[in-house]
Amino acid sequence: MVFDPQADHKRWLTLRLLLWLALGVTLAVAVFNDYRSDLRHWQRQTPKELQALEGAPSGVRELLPDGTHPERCVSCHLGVDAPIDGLPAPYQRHSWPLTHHTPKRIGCVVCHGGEGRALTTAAAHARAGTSARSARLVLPYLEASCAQCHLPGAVPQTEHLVRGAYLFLELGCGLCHSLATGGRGGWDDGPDLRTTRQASVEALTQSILDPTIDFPDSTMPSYRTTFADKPEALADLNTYVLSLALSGGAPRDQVAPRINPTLPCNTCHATTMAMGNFHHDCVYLRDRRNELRCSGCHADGAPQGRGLCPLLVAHASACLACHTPKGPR
Amino acid sequence: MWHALGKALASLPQNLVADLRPHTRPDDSASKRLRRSFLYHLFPLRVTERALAPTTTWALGIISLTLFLVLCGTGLVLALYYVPTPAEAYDSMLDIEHRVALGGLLRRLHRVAAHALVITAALHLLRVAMQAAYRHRELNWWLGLTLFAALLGLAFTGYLLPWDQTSYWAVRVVSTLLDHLPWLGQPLKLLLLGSDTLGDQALVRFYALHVALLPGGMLAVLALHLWRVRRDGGLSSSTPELVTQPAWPHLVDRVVGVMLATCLVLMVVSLTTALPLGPPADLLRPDNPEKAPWYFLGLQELVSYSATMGGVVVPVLVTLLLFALPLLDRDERDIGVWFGDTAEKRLFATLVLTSSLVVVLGSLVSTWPTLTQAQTNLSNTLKDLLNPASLCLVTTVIAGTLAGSRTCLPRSAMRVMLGVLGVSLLWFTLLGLWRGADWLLTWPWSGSSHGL
Repeated sequence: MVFDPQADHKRWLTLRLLLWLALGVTLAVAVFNDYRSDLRHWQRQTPKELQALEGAPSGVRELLPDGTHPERCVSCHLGVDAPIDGLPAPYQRHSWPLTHHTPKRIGCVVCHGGEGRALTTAAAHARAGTSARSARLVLPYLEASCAQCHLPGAVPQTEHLVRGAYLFLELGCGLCHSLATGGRGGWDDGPDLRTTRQASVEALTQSILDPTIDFPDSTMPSYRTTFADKPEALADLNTYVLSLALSGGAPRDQVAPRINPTLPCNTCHATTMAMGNFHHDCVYLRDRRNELRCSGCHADGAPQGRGLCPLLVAHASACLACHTPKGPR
Repeated sequence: MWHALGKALASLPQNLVADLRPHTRPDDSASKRLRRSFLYHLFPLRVTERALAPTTTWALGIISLTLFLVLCGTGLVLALYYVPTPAEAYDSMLDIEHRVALGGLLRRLHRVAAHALVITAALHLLRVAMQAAYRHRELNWWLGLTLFAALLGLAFTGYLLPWDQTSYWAVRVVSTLLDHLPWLGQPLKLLLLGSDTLGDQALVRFYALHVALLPGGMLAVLALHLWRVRRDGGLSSSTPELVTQPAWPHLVDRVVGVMLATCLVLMVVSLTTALPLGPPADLLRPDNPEKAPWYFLGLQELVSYSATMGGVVVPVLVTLLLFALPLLDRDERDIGVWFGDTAEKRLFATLVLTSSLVVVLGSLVSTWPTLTQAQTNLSNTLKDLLNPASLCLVTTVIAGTLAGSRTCLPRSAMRVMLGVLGVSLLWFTLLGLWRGADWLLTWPWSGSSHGL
């Protein structure tokens, strides 16, 4: 083929023009994407009532709960602590008055999870495929957040959490998932559930119903039949397990007593009144104190013979839900 | 006197412009001035028609250059926002993604271009090696190898910077690969990390390497590399071609076209893929499995067979072979073409295909459970000798010897060896990609798993 300089140059000039045009289009798309970002979209649609109160929003709004890490949720959730009822999402008011939990002081992420720095709905709400630092929590799992500072049942609106804690005890989860090990688990014991990173409800559900899918060597039985027609119960249990993962090693209110791990529980508790004296209202035993007392089984008072009561042995791990060898969780 | 001063002042702008652009005439257009002052010196006046044909080089050098320039541009902007401390690195990445105007696009452009550059530069290297274009261009071949090493260093140091779980543990894996290097490994690791572990010292060092030392050095070597191309007389060839065309406009047309097309592909890929950050790095909980960046995954796979064979012997031999290529091959014939004749092409294809098949099947057999069981009983020395890494080495040498004895050409032997090594590396990288939890082989079709 003979090289035709003129035609060749002409062909390349046309191609170059087309390439420039296409590049221009991609740039325009990029700018347009930025223009119709979630932030701008929601700020443009701000209800008139809110605008009358605080003026038209523009740009990013930040909360600095700890002074250094900005949370930008209020850039779109503009009416969180505005005294206006009945606004649609995302402008609606917080479902209960934030008198103690003021956003300025504690922010949003500590309870609701998600990514506070993000400015797109998908990333901020930690949807799949985004860089989720912590999962976004919705009810009933949101109750797990309360357990970061409060004992289950110690504050209102934590019914799911309390029921989950009971389930944890009834099913004997703590027998294997002892909260004293702090490890990743082995042959006989499961991992300490406080160490589950990035625990999502889906992953937890799968681990409970089909433990061997994610962990082929797991010896944990499937709880599929247990929860077959009780999705609420599963949600309750998930809420409690999430609360374990959330609080991790963080301190709670200083309400749980310091216990000596080298001594068996009955050193203090098992006299005539097994587990009789509580320094606080233990959530596990609140309704069951009577059946757990020695007299529940031993009609004639204190048991005879040596060794720990089987009931106590079976439930010892439950104590470790709140108590660790190093004191309160 | 005042009159003279006024005159001088009046002509000052014109004189300044003239000083900036010597050898230009006032009626020159901008494009004419550009090509007079710069392009006429970067490119030769006339180029062969072979150089203009797309299949000669596949424009891999120009594509790589474009990607490098894009990386410099986007990197400059990213460096303004990035904070190289463990506490703030991840947060600053999120800020770039969400707070900076078009920051997400900028980050994706940088990331896509970086991955693409590793591929195109490797292909460029392979093209030059396969066409024996290193003949009479020894210096530029070595400069190119240096550039490739620097490029891998840049990609690797950049990999750590997001400080998310994937990047942290990937870099940690590669830094432990250094342990297998005798004598040099430990001091090198200390120099790179600044301490025993991958912590804040390492992040600052990686940042300095990534934004200053490596790109600076690379720019200098790159200038030399491009200058040597002109200096060496353009594309290498053993048969002088008389039919030439002016570089302006034909070569420049192609260069500009390829550059624009590269940018376009980059933009489209960056606009259509999400490439999210992973969760932030958790220094206490490693991912399972911990995987090196994909361009080091083949090496990690080799090291998993045997630290000595896969981590030291094979990489060192391959590096030596690459550097020694222009010294071993002194043949004056068939420079700058893919193959000498069809017979050599057929021999190359046969040998590379059969040897690659041997490596692939051998490494698959070695993952057979009974064999892995048997392997645990072997002594360490035997384990270092009997594994896919040494199988790959032996197969390469045999294939090379066969090719050499058949054709009596060292070049043919080395082409076959490079071909086998290339396919093997690709295969080991694939195997590395298919490794699941506990480094067990999980086929892509057997379903994915996601842990807590």
